[in-house]
Amino acid sequence: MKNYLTKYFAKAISGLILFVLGSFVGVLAHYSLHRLSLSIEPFIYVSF
Amino acid sequence: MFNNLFSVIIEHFRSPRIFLLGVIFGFGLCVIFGMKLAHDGYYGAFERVQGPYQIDNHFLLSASQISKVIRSGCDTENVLVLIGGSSIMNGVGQPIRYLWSKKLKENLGDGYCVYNLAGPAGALNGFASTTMDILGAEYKEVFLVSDMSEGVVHYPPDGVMSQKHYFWDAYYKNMLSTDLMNYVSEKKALFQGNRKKLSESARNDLEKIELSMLLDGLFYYNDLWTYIDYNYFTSYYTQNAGAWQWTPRKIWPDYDFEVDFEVLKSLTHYTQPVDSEAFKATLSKYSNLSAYYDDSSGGEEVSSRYLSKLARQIEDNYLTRVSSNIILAYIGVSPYYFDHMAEDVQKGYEDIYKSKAELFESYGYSVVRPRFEAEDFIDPFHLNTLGGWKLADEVADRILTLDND
Repeated sequence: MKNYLTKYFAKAISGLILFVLGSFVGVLAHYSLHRLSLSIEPFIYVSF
Repeated sequence: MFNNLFSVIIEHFRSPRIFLLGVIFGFGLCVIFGMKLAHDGYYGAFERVQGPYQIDNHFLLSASQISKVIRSGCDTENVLVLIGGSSIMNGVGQPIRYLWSKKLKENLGDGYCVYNLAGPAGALNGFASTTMDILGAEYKEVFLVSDMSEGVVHYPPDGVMSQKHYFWDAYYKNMLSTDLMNYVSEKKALFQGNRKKLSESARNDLEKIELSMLLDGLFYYNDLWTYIDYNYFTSYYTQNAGAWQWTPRKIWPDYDFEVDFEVLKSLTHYTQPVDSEAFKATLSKYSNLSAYYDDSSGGEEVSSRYLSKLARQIEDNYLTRVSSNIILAYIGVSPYYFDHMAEDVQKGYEDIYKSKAELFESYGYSVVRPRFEAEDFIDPFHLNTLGGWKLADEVADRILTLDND
């Protein structure tokens, strides 16, 4: 019973960690797409 | 117990299913927030493409957000006046409280809404022309005001490089009129042909903009992350931000100061001597002065090659279909600089702009030419408040005339 609970608890914790980690990577991927769409060099207005 | 827990965690980490589920969840949540923001709008007060909306500091002005700002601030019973064009029309040199477009609104009175969408180095096609197409069917009448000071008429509908994302944002979010969508399909071969003439890096930039806006139409990342930049913190380094680095864009100030008009009139703005040859080179770069001196003109008149190329560009520009609602301002160069040019350069410059104005008028565009003095400029090309208000007077008169016809 104790082993079963430990295993179950460990599975839930690791699943949660993996899910949060995955979510973070998903958010990061979304942000990266935004950053990639920005120009690398800023457009600098040149005054005369 | 802890050894057991640790071994189960390690074992679980080997299975990527939950991790992938997390990736999809995180990404999907961002897409949903982005879609909601695109729909709801989040821009605060919008005066011009400056302050929080500095495109030269990586800000991706969004077609959906600007349309939202206009729809919420201007009733469809009003006449909508959109200002496009370059930094001159943006009002570089004019404090926000005395901006020429505010004076234009004041001159036009009730029943007219004015939005200044001109951006640095902008052209006739760009933010304003795209917005004109998006909102054209909703408003009683829409006028587009731009300058014709730039050397090239950018007939591709997406305009200059720094404004192209705006058009493709609208394109991939299905905001454009069917007419314009058809025009883009019809002219695809022409645009691709023109693209081949560009440098490889410019071609790559263009492809990158189109691809990123295509993906943005699906995943709405620019709406979400620009919202965070705007409201919470700018998440990346920008070269020109100065003290405002990393701060929310909504607090970035547009420049503003009190103007003493009497002092402005009496100021001697230019004390430096003008190097006529160097200035001629600048003019050649920015106003196609070389068209006057090319082989076919013999240095005596505007070359026919230049004029026929310009005529083709005007014909190919989809805006020519609504040219009766477009007003082009001929700003010219500060008389102080003009007077320092050699006589042949003066004649060339005048002839080019006269020919250009006549050509535009022959295609149904309206051209206004206020008479400016040296004290109306902050530099060779940009107007101060005095000049801006002269421009506002001329443009308002023309809009009222066109609207009453």
